[in-house]
Amino acid sequence: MKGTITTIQRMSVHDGAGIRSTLFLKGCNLRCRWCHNPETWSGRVQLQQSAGRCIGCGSCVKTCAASALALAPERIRIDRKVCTVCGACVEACPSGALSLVGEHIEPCEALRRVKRDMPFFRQTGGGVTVSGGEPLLQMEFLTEFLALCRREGIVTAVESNLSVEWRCVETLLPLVDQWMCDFKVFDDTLHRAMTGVGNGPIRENLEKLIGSGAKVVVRTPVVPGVNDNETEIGNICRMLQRFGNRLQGYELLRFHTLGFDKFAALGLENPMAGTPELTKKCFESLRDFARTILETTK
Amino acid sequence: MMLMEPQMNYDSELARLKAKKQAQTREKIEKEGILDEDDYGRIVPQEGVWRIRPNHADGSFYGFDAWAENFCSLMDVHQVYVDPDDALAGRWCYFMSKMRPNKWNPDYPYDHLRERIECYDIIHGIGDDAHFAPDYEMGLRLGWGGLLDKIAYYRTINCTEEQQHFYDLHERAIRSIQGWIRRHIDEARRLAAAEHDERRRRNLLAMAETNENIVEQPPRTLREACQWIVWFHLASRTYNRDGAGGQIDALLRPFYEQDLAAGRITDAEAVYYLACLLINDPVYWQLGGPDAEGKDQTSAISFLILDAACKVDSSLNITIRVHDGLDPKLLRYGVECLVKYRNGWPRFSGDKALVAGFMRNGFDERLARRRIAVGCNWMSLPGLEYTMNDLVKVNLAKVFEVAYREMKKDAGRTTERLWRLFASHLKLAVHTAAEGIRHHLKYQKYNEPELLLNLLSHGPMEKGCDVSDGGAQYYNLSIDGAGLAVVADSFAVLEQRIEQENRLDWATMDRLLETDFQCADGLKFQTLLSRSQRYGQADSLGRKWALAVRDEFTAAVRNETSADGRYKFIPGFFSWANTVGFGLHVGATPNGRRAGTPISHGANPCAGFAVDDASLSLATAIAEIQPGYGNTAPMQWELDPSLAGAESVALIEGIIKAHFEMGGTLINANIMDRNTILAAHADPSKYPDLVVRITGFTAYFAMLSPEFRQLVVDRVLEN
Repeated sequence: MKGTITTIQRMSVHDGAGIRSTLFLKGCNLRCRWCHNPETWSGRVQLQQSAGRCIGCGSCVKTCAASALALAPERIRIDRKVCTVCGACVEACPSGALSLVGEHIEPCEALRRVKRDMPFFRQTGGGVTVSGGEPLLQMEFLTEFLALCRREGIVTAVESNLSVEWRCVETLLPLVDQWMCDFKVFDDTLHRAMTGVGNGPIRENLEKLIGSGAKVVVRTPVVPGVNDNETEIGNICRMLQRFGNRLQGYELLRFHTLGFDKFAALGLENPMAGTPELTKKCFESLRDFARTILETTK
Repeated sequence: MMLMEPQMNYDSELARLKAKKQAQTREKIEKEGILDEDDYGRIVPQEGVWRIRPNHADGSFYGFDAWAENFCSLMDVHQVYVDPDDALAGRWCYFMSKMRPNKWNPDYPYDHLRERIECYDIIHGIGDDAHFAPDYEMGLRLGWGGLLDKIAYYRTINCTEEQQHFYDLHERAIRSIQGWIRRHIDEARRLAAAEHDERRRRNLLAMAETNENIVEQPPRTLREACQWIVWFHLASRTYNRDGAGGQIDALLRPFYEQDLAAGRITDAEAVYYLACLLINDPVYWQLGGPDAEGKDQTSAISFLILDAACKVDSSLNITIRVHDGLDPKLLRYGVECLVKYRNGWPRFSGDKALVAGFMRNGFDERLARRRIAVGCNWMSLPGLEYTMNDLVKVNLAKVFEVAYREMKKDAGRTTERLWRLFASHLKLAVHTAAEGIRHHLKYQKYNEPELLLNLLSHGPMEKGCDVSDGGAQYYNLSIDGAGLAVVADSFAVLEQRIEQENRLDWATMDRLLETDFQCADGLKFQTLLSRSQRYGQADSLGRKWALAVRDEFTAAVRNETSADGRYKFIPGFFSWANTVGFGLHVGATPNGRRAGTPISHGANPCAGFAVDDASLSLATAIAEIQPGYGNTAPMQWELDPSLAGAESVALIEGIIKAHFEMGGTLINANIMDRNTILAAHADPSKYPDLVVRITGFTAYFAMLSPEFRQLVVDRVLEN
């Protein structure tokens, strides 16, 4: 069963121990307003335009059968209602300004690509992390891929929002060495407003997952105006407190704007446009606060 | 021997020595201008003291007698250098070999090779010197007196007139060095007599006594051993810029341990002596690694040497030999130094591939382990081999250009046809380089005999002949390829864009190259070509062609080995500082490279090759491209400063180990902040202590030419 990925990112150093290769699976059931990987929202292949690369040669315009493209100063104007994402313009583009995001890939091919970094995994205690999007939306591909990794002795990790059916998580338990699960907002109403879904099923799955004995790290992106306050972070910490040392760790992730360009590249509206980066001071203050409740907070 | 006070701290002495070194570097720039080379520790000579003594109508000097005459006359008047803050006496001043107007004796012409040398842009190495390692262990064991005794002994065995003269001249060279040392003893005593600072006075007296002890006898203490090494090294540098070092921790360990056992040294004193040794000249020293039996050579002094390097933190060429048995603490300490100081030291060499590769030449494992990293890119068996390491290079990009131009006459043009032409020209280019080496070996003794390195080689004294002339035990002759990535990427472009995708035809490619992409649609095509499948990317056409070039080049070089195996030729990929010069001689290339711009560096892919992570792609690609016979194809690693925090030490260490596990041989790393390098480029004088690892060597950024500084800047920014 083929999966749809955006990329395999080598040298990931923030998605688990050691040097890791992270597979980003395409398609997500949440729409977090602060998402820095909006290219993973849709499960389909998309056309994207990288800013500053267009040399204005017009090769793409000439080749577009749907007449979806037009030259504009320093960029191409894409009529996405008309564009069929056939990829002809990408082929014609000499500069790489246009590209397709999304690749259908067999699990064995994904394995072949990550295996080239085995020496780095071995030397640093690293391995493979599957992220997204929500990777558990592609269960057949994911299960097969993780089983192949298992067979090769590659350490595996999965990043999930846990907003999925428990049986999906349960199926993967024997194949995953490390889980990294987001718990984004404590207040259910706010969670629904900010991500599009409630957090009830996430809480339940988290409880079951930690109860299963799996190694779990919970992570919270700290977002200005959303959860950058002691009430939210405090509530999450207190919720996690009861898991004691069965929870491997809790991490706060500082909101950043590095993904903003991606919205423009995909022709999407950025719900957080204009939001400044969370200040280091504010972030560290919240982290210190979290540590007063959960000592292991990173 | 007089001792410094135990537990004394020497930071103030070292701070003054570092400040003085900075002033000396500034003076070199002011008086002598830029230099795209190593720092060498050399200082500006006093004016009007010495001039060369020509023995040829062309104004140069050649042969044993002239070299001995020039060297000894220089030693007789060479300035003395005694610094009351320094534990060791001496500095060198004269690039004697560079002071000649001509470096090859015109009585032994190589006109028959010139046309091809020019055609293929070969750096031929004819008349070049040194670039193999002396055996410092022998020097420390025998001392100057012991070396004279050795000469006296073999003088009774090798009795021809020519051999007797050979011994006369080597004796004379030693005596002149001893004279130079004695003048330093006098100077140290003179300065001590006038010195009011008690600490400095005692140091000067200790320096005098140290030198008195070793002027005839072999050294017995760590300070004496360091001083002996300095003397040989300074003399050899003066003679012909020889900068090879040795396994410094193993060399000095017995002296340090004897001093400790006798209660005559503290670690603070040891670090001070070692720091003075390191600041004297950035010699290529190896730390750690296996001995002949495979046992790790790391000891307490290995760590003290790194401690001393931390104190110096300047231009340093220390290499840690990484093998399975290496003390993990030494490797960790080395990586911490690389990250903390960001001055390009230490380097790391990969034992596994180096040993296995050298054994493929027919040598046993014990010998292979003794071949150590003691030069810019190179390995050498101290005292046992003559190598011409880093002296002979074939500009692969130029060979490609010759083949491409030749194919223009053909009706049916294909990459396959171009490859056959390239392979044919490559063979010819390599053969020309090998012929140059053979010519050099035949006549070098009449040109520039190795009067100094002969002394610490096993063979020349025993046989009574120069190391270049049959005196060495082994002849493992190096030929390096340069511009690998430009060639591989160019073949990949032609196959991908012309043959597979039909995006352009050969005539269009001709037009683009002839106009240097300055024609209609030039930018469009240049952009397209430069984005083709490149060497350095997994599963790419660039990779395929790079491996093909590697195999063809390796076979061509190996094919030059003499029938009896005495003269072995060993391939490597390295361009030293010649990327700029080589690039000037090559027009635009199909990979989108503009005419006259630098060629790719050593075994590195062209800048901007990485579609995902540059560090892992680089480490993988260069491990894979190794020629595999014991010479290196170094990984020049411009490490992203954001990765290079203290928290990333384990990851960097992991990449180093993984590269060597995959077959890598040598890692030269820079960790350079983008803003710093840009500011230093704008005004180098504000960054007098900024050191960059250019290739195998480090250099003060301020000493580099604007063109070379730009190259370093581009490399840092593109990574």
